[in-house]
Amino acid sequence: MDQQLFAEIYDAHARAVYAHAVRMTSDRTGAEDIVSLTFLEAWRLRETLDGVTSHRAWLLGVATNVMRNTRRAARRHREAMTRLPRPEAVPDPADAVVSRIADTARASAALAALGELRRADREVILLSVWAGLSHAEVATACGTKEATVRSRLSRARSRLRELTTAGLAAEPAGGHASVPRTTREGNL
Amino acid sequence: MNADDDARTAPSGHDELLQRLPGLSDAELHAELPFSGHHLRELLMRETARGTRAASRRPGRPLVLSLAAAAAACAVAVAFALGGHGPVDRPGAAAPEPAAVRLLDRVALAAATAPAPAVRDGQFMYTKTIGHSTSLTEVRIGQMVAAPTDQSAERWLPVDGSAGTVVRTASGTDRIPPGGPPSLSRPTYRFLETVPTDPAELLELLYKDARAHHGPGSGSTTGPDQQAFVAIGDLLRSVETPPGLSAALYRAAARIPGVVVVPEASDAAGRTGVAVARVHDGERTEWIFDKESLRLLGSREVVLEDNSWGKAGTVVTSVAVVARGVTDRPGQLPGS
Repeated sequence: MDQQLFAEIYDAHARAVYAHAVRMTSDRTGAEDIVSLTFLEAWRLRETLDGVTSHRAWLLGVATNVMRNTRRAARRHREAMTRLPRPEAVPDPADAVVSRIADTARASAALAALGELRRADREVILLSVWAGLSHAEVATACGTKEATVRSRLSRARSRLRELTTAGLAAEPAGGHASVPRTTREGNL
Repeated sequence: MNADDDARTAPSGHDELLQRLPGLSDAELHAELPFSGHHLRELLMRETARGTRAASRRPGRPLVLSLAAAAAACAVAVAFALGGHGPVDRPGAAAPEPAAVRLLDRVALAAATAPAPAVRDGQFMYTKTIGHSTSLTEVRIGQMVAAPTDQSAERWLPVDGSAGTVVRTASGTDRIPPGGPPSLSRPTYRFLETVPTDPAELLELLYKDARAHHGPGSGSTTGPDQQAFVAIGDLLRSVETPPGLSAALYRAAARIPGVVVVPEASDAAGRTGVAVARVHDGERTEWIFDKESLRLLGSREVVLEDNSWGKAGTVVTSVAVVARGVTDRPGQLPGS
């Protein structure tokens, strides 16, 4: 793994890791920290990364571990992060960003629903449905069994269905219900 | 860089949830909250440039390296944050059924007397399985469709830790690189030779892991008893374990509350045998054995009460072991 290839991997997948981290944490600045820690860890494990078939699935697994650990390591990690040089071109201080997520009504409704899930269920459903990993890849990313992935997915789906149904009933004027459904092929 | 990387794993967009909870797809998020990754990229490139130099890392090492070390230390902390104990007597947890204990004892005896595979470092344990599992997709609000997924696979598991595991399926070849200490869920054959073969001690190991990931507060629906049972089955199915360990695994299973005998069950290859099983959450997980040789044929999961996965009696997962052996290289078949 040379630097050039690593840079290509960063360019190809940093956005996916970032999007996953935003969905998991609802916090943009925190998500950027997670991207940086994920890729630092990926570089440290670059010999492993060399042999990985799906860089995306593997990186999302590393990010999952990083996020599980950020609470524990929060202080140390936050201290170090605040000392990192931030180029002046980066505009958004944390507060502004968090409020922007809140202002994004659709995203904030979705984040609120996801926030109701247990963490393990949220990990699994986000990796599976939003990041599009296979059950096997989710199992690897979360360090669990496919059977567990299945049961967590099933539970998370039921819960999200309850939550969104309740939300729509409470907010009949909300825009969610009118979102056009994409046309589907005959089978999946 | 793998050309198929993104194409293969991109969200399908077919899932109803993506429409029900809009605003969070990668594309939508980037439109609302563009990722300003340039400074991170610069930082990483600076850091990785330093990392590639031969110079040793001195005590006053750069900030970012210590960050990486912090992340690594945390990852390790998770891997070792295992606590817990073996099965405990819980009210309502059925003791192992005597018939199941007897059957497992016979199976263990047969396993213990089987010849150990002759292996050398650098070689691979080959296992071929055929069968299916089930995947659940929500196609319309509230409407779940259970579709079978092919679980046929050829697996080459390394004898020692110098190589990774290779798994070949209809959709391609997956290389799971070496790295990290081997474990029961990510073994090498040499590692399996070091695992305790005292059933009580072995069960304790399995429960430690099961409790760490499936105990109270983990959010797991599996629970430690079922997880220990499933972990044993997964291991026995995915690799030919050393005879002493196979026997110990069966004897350990005989101590798990709730194990029962299913007198007749067929595997994914159509072979009929006798099964040891455990019921959990409306599903029965079965290990099917040949009635004569008591060799493991395969395993399956059967729905006992109608649920999203199917009507009662539906076999949601069935995987049969159809070939085992030792090869010199991944991708090679035994005896070739």
